[in-house]
Amino acid sequence: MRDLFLSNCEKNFIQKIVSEGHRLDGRNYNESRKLNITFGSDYGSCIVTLGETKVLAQVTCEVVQPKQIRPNEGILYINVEISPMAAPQFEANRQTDLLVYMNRLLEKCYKDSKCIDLESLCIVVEEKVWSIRVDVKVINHDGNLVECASIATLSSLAHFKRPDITRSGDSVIIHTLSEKDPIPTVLFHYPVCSTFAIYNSDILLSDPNFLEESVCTSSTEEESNINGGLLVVGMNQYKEVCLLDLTGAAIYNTNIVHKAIMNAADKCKDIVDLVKKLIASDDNLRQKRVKINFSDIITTEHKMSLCKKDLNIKLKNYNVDNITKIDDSDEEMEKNCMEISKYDVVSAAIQHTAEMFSKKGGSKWIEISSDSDED
Amino acid sequence: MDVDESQLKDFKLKPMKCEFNVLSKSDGSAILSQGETVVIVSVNGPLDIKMQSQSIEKATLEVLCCSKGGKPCVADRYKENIIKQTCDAALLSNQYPRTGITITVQELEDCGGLLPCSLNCACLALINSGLAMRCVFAAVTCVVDEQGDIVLGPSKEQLDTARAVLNFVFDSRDKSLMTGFTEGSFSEDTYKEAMERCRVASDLVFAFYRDIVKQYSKIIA
Amino acid sequence: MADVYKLIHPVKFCNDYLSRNIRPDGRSFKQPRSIKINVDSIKTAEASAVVKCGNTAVVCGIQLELSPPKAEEPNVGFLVTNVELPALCSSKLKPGPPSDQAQVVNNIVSDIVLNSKCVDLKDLCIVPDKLAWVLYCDIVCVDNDGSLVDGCIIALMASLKTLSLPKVSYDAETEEIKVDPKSRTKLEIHSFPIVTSFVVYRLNQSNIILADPTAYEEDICGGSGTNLIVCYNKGLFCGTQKFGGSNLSKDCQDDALKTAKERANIVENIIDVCIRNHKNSSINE
Repeated sequence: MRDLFLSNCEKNFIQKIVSEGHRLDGRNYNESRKLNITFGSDYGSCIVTLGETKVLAQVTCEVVQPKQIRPNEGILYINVEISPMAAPQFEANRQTDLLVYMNRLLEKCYKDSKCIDLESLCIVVEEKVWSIRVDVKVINHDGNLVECASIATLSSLAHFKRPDITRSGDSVIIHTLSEKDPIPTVLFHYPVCSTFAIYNSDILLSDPNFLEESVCTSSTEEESNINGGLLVVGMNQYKEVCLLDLTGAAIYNTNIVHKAIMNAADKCKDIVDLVKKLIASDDNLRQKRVKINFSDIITTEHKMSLCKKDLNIKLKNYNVDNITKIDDSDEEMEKNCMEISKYDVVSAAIQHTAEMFSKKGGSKWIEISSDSDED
Repeated sequence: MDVDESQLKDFKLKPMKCEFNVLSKSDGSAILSQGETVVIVSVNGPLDIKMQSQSIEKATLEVLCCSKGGKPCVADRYKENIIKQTCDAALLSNQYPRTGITITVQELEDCGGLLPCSLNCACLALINSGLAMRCVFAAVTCVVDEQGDIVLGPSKEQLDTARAVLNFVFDSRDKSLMTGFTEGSFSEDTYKEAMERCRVASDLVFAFYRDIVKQYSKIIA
Repeated sequence: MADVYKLIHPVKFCNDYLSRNIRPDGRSFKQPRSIKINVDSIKTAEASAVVKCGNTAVVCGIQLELSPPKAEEPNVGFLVTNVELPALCSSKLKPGPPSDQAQVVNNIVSDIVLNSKCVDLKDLCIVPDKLAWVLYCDIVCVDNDGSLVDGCIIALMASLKTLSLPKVSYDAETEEIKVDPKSRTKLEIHSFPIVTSFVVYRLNQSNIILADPTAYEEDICGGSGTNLIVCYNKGLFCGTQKFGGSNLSKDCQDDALKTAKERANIVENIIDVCIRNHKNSSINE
């Protein structure tokens, strides 16, 4: 399947509303989408959801011979895969630019920042070391893959525990999980990437979605877009910068980098705190022998009807409470509200019923729909 | 096929949970857990594909199985082949000539019975995608244990110690065998009995499908 | 004339034959093609066989190697099968890395060898934790005219039956290995899996099965390769695989199992006779 192209009016529209202070999904410039981290039954497996972007990470380990130049260090290997599951435009087993770019960024962020104590992974010098492999799989691509993948890599590395070993003479015995408690990986610091989309070289959008990402890096027909770009900032919990990467146009406004770093510092700290908290509570549950499994992410909370396409536009003044109020009074309304889409949006069905209802007296609804027309 | 209610109680499968529309970018997607095994499947199609892989008669089906960690291996190709041939038989792919349909299967948890779970999840994702289908299909696993008894919906320990593992996929119209694959050795009688039991148990899977679709579509309900 | 008819109306051409209870190549539905086996055909391999089932030709060669066993299973040797489908065996294949079909056939073959337990891998261990045999079984298809798995398994079993392992002495202190190619012991084969392939064809609202199909019959039934593979091993079934094609009814399945049993006995006989002949002739030399 060929690449996805955006029409000029889509691009112009996004450019325009961003310059007017809005975003398509109703967020503020600095607002991130909802972050969710779930751990699987194995050590070192997790799914990270950032809005609609979903990434699966799994850490595995094996005993290998060390590299000759570093005989007393373990090996960390990061591998990113983007299958057609992420979005239809990707092909299976194809090395795309995006893949290479993501792989390199993650390597910079986790390998080159030396956040893992590689020396602790050594078993016998020059003979046996642990090789740790992180497999990052993109399940759904709705923008900001780098941030989502980096949170997934960090959480899975922090969550991972390798089997314990015993050395007796020449031979090394690897204990299974039931024989001896596994050992967690030592992390010196917790780096996390965050992405900012730059619009008109002075507006910073944190956590851009797919549309915002594509618009800021592409150019429109009339005016070539020289002022947009993507800025990735990697920072750890001590607010130290580990990674800076810019794609797109050159920045002539130095303040913007400073602003991005200031923004990222708080955000990264929050994310790292969240990751640490979740891992601690996960550890607690495991000690109580609670079975943890990915099947927990299957819920029936957000159900959509098969026949309706959902809308990912959010109205700024829109408020969920409005519906629920009307809800209680009308049976038919209740039925429809069972199928509120997962974005909490005004889907076509609800708008329709609202219009009918407004004849009775709810003038609020008319206001909202006229609001949306203006937008 | 008429099934006695009391008889059905013996035909217990592992608890199943499913959610549709988990992926926003795919045309159809489903996540399914059978016991502790969890799989996520996305379906994209009909798509515009390269000239050389287009077929003038029917849609070109492509299946990709991704394991959770480690490198891809030969066993993945075998899984892809089974899923592809089964979906090919179930899809009315001659309605979409010169196009491609991609099915991607991602393992999330493997506690035994990954392939049957992937097949069921692929079927659910196809239902969700709205592609025209001849029939739906249900995969059921059973094992022949050390004593020679047939156990439906085996646990991981039972799978590891089993003498033979038999998997069957039935179609929804006349419950005939669409796909089957086995491990280990077994006698002819065991094979036939296992198949009949699985055939009856497939009703449970179809009932589950109906249940799920009902929840998501008010037209049927 | 028939060629043109076949080209223009491929389905009707096939239906015309099958509705008269005969197949396009003149066989009846359950009649397999003739089999020719030659053992010890490649002198550079430790054991080898060439098998022809109709036009399908498969060569199998076994190489031996010594290697330390895996740390997790110190008393187990290795048997590695590798099925190759080079571009020369079929016009559908292109040269390059192993095709998906080759990988699938390889997986089926190695599963059958594993499930039937025809070689006890513990027999391949020489000194636990130190030394074990590795059997590299390379199976190359020279001409693919359907029922590939049948041919691969027959060739593999015939080669394994003629394989003998040289004596190895291992000095525990000096870790010196001595191989004596003169004195050999035969490798014990514990079971005899034989595979019969079928395709399921839909003819006038009912399904029929065709045993030992040709490549043309495989194509016309849809799916890649054969639809039903039944492996029979001395009274037990050790692997039945069904994929693609039409659905399988109960009658067809019973028929298929029966045919597979009968054919397994015949093929076993052919292999035994062939090996006996080979032994006699080598003694005479």
